[in-house]
Amino acid sequence: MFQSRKRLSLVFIAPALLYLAIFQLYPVLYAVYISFHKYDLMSPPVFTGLSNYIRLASDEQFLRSLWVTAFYVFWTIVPVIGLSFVLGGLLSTLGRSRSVWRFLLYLPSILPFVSVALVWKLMFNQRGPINDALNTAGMASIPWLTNGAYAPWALIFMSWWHATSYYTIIFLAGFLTLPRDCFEAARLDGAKLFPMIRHITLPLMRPTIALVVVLATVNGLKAFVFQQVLTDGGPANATQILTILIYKTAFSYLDMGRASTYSIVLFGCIMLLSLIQIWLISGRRDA
Amino acid sequence: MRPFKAINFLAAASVAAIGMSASLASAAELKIWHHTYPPAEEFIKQKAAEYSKLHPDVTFTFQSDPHGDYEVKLLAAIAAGEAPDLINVLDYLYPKFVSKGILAEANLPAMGVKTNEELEALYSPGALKGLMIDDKIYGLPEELNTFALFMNKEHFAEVGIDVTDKANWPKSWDDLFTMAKKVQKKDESGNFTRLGFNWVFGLDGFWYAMEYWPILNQYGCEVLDSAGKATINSPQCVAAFTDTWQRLVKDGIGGPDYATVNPVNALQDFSDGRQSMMMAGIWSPPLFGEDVKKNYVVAPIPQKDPANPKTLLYNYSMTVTQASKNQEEAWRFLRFLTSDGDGYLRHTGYVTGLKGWEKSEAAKDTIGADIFADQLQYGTYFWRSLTWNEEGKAIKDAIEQMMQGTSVQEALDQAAKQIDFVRSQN
Repeated sequence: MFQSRKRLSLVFIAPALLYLAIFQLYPVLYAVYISFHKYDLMSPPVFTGLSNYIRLASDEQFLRSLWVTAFYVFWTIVPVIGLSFVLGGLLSTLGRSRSVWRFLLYLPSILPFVSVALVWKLMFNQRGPINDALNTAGMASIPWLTNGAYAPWALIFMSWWHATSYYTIIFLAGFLTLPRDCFEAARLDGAKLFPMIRHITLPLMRPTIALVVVLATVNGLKAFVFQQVLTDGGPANATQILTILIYKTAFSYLDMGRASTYSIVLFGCIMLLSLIQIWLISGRRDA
Repeated sequence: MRPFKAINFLAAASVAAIGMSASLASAAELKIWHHTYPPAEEFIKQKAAEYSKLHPDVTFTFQSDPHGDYEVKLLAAIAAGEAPDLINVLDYLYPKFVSKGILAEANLPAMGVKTNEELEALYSPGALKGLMIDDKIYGLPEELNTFALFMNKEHFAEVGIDVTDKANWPKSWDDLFTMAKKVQKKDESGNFTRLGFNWVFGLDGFWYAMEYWPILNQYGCEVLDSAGKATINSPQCVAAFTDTWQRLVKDGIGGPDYATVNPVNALQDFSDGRQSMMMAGIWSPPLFGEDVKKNYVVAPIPQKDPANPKTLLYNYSMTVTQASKNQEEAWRFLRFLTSDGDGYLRHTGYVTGLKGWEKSEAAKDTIGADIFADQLQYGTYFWRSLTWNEEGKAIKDAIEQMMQGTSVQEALDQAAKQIDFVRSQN
């Protein structure tokens, strides 16, 4: 009886396993395989051993992209997490108007990425509304998308607007699950706002914070559309994050081996950072 | 009676089936892929319809994508075994595409000629050169081109310069920038309301190359030396970029901050009357706004040494893929399509390069056709390389750095380093 149930359960999970194997596992394993080859899509892959990995150390485009990616992810996630946390907390204190604010705040997340990017591209234009506002305030126009000093910041500002909406909703969900009695007890004991946040809210919100930190880091590392539409990695590679470099290396330069190597490195970074973050925020506490 | 009827029915059905399969066997569907250029799309569709009338067994499907996306999609389709039959390819990609076995060698009998020489004799000198690898022809010109200077005569008339008079055309780059300063307009806050001249920005490496290649030729700058080592940072190249690209920004004439970037119409600012001069091909007027269409003049591009003119030559060709199952029919259609040079020029602004095109009725009706015909003889094709895209990108990056204040030498040193790195890996 047990054996037949086991067999039946295998039959039921087989489609899901098959889906994972074909569409998730196989592409990852194939990317690892290709990263040890020279492959241009047109001719059969030629085994080159570790050469794609060895050349990374002298590949300036890659090293620059790695730095651009780290800069973008850091300056995106740190303010976004803080801002989302505060907004989520404020939303949780609202009464009936909460649903309206929640809808308005979540709006950027449900808009198509490309449409959002195109609108921001117009806004950052030299003759766009942002520069118009600066001019009205007596300031000079800023070459947001055509100067390497400003373009990374333009993308970061835009990501703040976009990502905050998503993570605010996650934090709001976290805040709404916090037990009210802890706060009431603290209040009765005369606790002030900041000590309450530090000693009650933050420890109780730790799993939500862990989730948001990991999600924000992974999403930041995987960003592509905004950079592609707004700057295509320019000017002079100032916004060429790893995903853009991977795309160009694969489809413009037809170097699938090198593109796969970059992908494996990106995959490794995401995996490592996620594990460290989970360990720091959740694992270490449990230990 | 019944068995007889059944046999008759079976026989009739078999004959019909054989007939249908025979007709299917001879039927050909030719897939054409082209970069987005609406006038060309319409013309090719019109010619395809004409061809289908003459050959009812041949049908066509057409797809277009903006330049840049087009090449990516094309390569993905070829890699996936879904290659179209006829494709639109720039000449600088021929070495790479031929080395990868993507392009089919020209089928001369299908085009009604016996030898390469016979085919070449139908074209202006050098027209097929960019489409040949090891003396084999792999495509036909759809757009044999060079760049000229387009000027808005109304803008210049406002500042008292009559550009319909050849004597007032800029001969040197210095003349060009001087004229640009005279014709440009700014509002009270110092923002441009009209640019005198600008280079293209925010587009792919090929677009940049079309504008710097004539200048590099004029200054004796080579991207690579004979051994394949990057020489883009040579003194000649530094001088070329300093005197032209960097000067534009230093003199406050233009720059990337002022260019409108439109992936379908790269010449948006001139087309809309926000810019008074631009460098472009003979194909550009159909994209102009109605006001500009009535008010432009075509002049040769400025020269470093007007006595020894040098410029660009490029070929956006049509060719047949190796993977096509209907190669012969595809070449036959290609010859049919491109032999209508008059129609091409009239409807699309493309010069197919057939001998004597400049004397055709369409050429007589095309403003500046004589200038383009004259300039073609001074043109040279881009440098040839299997890693052209990466090398072009390295130079584009260098230009973008110069535009932000990096010294020309430093920017080109980085480009040279990147080019050498890329070439060492291939």
